[in-house]
Amino acid sequence: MGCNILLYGATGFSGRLIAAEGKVMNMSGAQGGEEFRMILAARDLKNLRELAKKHSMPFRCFGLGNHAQLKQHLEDIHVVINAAGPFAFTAERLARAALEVGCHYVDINGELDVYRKLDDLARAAAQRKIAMVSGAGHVAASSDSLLDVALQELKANERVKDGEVLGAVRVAMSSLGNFSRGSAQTIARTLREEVIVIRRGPVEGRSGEKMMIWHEPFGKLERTFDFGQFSSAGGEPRATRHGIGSAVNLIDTLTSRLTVSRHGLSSQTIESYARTGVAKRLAFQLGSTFASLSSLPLVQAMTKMSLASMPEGPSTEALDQERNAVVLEVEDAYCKRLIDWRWEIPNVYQHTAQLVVGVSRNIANGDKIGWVTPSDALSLNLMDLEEPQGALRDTKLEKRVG
Amino acid sequence: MAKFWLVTLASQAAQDPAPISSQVAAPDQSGGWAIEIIQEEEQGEIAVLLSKVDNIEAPKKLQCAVGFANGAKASSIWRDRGFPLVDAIIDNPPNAALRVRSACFLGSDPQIDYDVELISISGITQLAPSGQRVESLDASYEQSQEAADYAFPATWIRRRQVGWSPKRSDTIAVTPQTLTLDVKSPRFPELAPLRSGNVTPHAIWYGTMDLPIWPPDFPDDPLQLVSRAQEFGIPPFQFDDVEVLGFRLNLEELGVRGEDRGRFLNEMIERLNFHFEPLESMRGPGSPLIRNPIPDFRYQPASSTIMVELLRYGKMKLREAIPPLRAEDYQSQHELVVRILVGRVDEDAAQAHSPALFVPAIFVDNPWSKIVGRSVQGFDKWMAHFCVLVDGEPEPLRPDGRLSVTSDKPEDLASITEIRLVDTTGKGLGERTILKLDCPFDQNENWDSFQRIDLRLASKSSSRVPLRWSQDDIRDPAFRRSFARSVIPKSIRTLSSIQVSPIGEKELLKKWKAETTLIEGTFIADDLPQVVIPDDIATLTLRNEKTAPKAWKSMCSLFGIPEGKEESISLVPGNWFRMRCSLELKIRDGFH
Repeated sequence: MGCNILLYGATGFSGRLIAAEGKVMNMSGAQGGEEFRMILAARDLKNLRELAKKHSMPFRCFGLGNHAQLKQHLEDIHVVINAAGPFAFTAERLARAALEVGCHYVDINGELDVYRKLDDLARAAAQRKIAMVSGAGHVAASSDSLLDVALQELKANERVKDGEVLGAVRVAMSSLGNFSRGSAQTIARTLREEVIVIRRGPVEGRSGEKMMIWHEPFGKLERTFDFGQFSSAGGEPRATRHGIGSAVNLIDTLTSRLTVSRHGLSSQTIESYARTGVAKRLAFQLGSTFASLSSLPLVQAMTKMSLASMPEGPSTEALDQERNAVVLEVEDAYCKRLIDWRWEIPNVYQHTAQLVVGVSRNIANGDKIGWVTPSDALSLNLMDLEEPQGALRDTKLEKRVG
Repeated sequence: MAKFWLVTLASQAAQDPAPISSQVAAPDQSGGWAIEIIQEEEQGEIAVLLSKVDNIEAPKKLQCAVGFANGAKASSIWRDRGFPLVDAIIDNPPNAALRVRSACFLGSDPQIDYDVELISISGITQLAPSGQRVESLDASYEQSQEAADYAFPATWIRRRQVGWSPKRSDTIAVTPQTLTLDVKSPRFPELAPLRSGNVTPHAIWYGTMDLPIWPPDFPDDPLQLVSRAQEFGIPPFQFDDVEVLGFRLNLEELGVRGEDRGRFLNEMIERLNFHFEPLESMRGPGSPLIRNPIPDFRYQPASSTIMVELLRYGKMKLREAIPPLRAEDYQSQHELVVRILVGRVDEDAAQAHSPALFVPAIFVDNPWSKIVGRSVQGFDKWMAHFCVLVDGEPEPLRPDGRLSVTSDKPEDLASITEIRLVDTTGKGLGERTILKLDCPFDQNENWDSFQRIDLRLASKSSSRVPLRWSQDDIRDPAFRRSFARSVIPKSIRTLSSIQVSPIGEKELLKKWKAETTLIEGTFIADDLPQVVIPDDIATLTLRNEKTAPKAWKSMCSLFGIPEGKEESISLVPGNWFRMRCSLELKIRDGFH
């Protein structure tokens, strides 16, 4: 019998794309007898029924309020994918229920606080022999996979050795995409005065140093990245080569720390950036300056209202035209550039769908338990990036240094 | 080197083929039951093990279903190692019957009986010296070590199979002679297969034995998940008629150096930070690869005020009947407990959160409380005598506070003057004093003037209401503000408790590393507790007893008390209190 993969939040913008990807990857019931069977789940019965019919997938309609009922729905599930944002309201409930029934948990969360709450459950996950993967969408699977492969190459070519302390690891996104309503809500929730970065520092009460979470003021860290040129629909390259990236709160920073550590390395700094134009930089600055006001009920209500008026997501045309890039820079302790890779990917929502389905399939069949990073779940190598297919289709790796 | 006597009985000789406890199934046709007496004469310690045996003629495998031991430390150690031992008074005088007295629930009486003569066996250790020498008797024990389940500690227990093979020598097989058994039939613990009367064993051996040493045999069997109903006591628990004498040891006021405070307090709570030790894969064929997150938080002491509390639980009950125990069944105990207020500090945050009380050292005088605490609740409980002075000499109280079963009423809790670790149950007071108390209750006019606490007033910094912790006790900036605000008034009415399970020796804990878990509980007072602030000065004399638990020794070291020495601490009014309340203890179960 195949593995049951339950997609919760199937009727949301990302959920629909993941369901469609599930069909592409032969997880639809209509295709029958396959290794994986995707089951759609959400609270909205009408849309759920329509979507299930469209993809010939079974469905289950339930909310997360009733814990006993939630567990019942997970009883026969091997992997639950959580695509229902804001994840602050859904992730912990779903993850805890998954822990109780013993099914693997995968989400496309991009919220740092949620990520850090979920990793508290990791030991229990290992004890119950299940895997938890948070950030299995574009955030943070893209940068994490790129870093994983880059570190594999550096070690294979003996350019870094076990235990070596790298100078810096930086990931930069050419864009966080045309925001869907859910993504905008996530960004609104994660606005704060400071940016989380990783710095190597002494451990209190112990000898030695380790990579620790650190905070820098918003706007302090800005760098220029070469995001490369994208092919436009008409074949003409767009002139978008260099751009300014501002350090932002992405969980990529935390997954990168785990991946660096898993390779037996350390780094003086790990930072995540997103390309920001003048308007966005200004918006980020203002947002972070007034982040403390966002906890006021009035401000919250106004934000909620304005977010609710947004379209559910970008149009199909906008998505089809959108191309993005992830840039990875790795430096040694002497600031020498070891890696400068650019990974061109489709729009972030489509890429998220591809990655999370790939992660879920691997987790269901894999032998990794506990707190698994997306790259660890995907287990990619250089050839996978250079000759992309399956979950990586429509991507292109450009190795500029290293 | 210990002496042993091993007796096998055909299962038909037993009154009832039902198992003694649900941990051990009834024997099959070739098997039966065995009684083994193990005696270490030097220490005066003796154990009586009642086991299922695979073969009554040539026993190879024994499975102890219930056992009694009078060595307090040995009983705990061997229970942690998988033998379901209960502390008992065991008399084995020459030329007389071996008698086992222990706490049990008898008949319909809801109150536990603390020293019932449960088993008496005449002649079992007075065997004829002649017999036939046996080359080898390889009877080993197959037991189950237990720990709370990491996900559902209130519902499930994890069991790991373990094999202990004692080395037997000078073994003599003697012709079985009739033994006279006198056995009570308590509701709990069940001793079903044994019956009173004359019984002729199938075989009897005696000889000497080397107790097995670590490590035992660990079969490859996966851990079993069994209902906690198979262990005594399922939460929630109800504690009625609780009296507390609380002593606030403010380390700063008592002149403890800041450096020592940090070092020893962190040492006392170090088990809470077990998550810094990553789980490792066994990497056997098919074993999964374990991925650990990078720990980004640690538990830290929130205050340099330690609470030392002496408690008497009048009635400890289950909230719901779990047969054979009923909801009205109750037992009592005294408890000496050290509480440290801890909080969780994230590596990148300036504010601690998740306040809870951690108990690094705890002493009780009720064997069943010790068993539940150690086995499934993460409390490293040790047996102790709680003594009052009678004609100038210390006399231990019974767990219900009486001097003897015929005493009219319990002694005052404050009349307890000394707490000593138990060496051998029933063999009188040992010498291992850990604490002496002087609470001048009988000259204190307001001793019984209980008042309900006004929590709003109590949480003011100038309050003299004896909260466990006040604003002034919390100095570290990480623990002030919201942490302190949430914990101070709560500490009287609600105590969040955090412990680490399992409990046991270092090697045993290593073996259970993957199953190590936090046990989070909440003590909730039924009503606002009633308190008295005594006007007098109380004096505690702490003794750094060499064989005391590590955390107790660390606490003594905080006050600069060298090993084997003692030192007195005087507590002015306001730094100690008397409280009465009823409590419920809930254990967090599951992840929701």
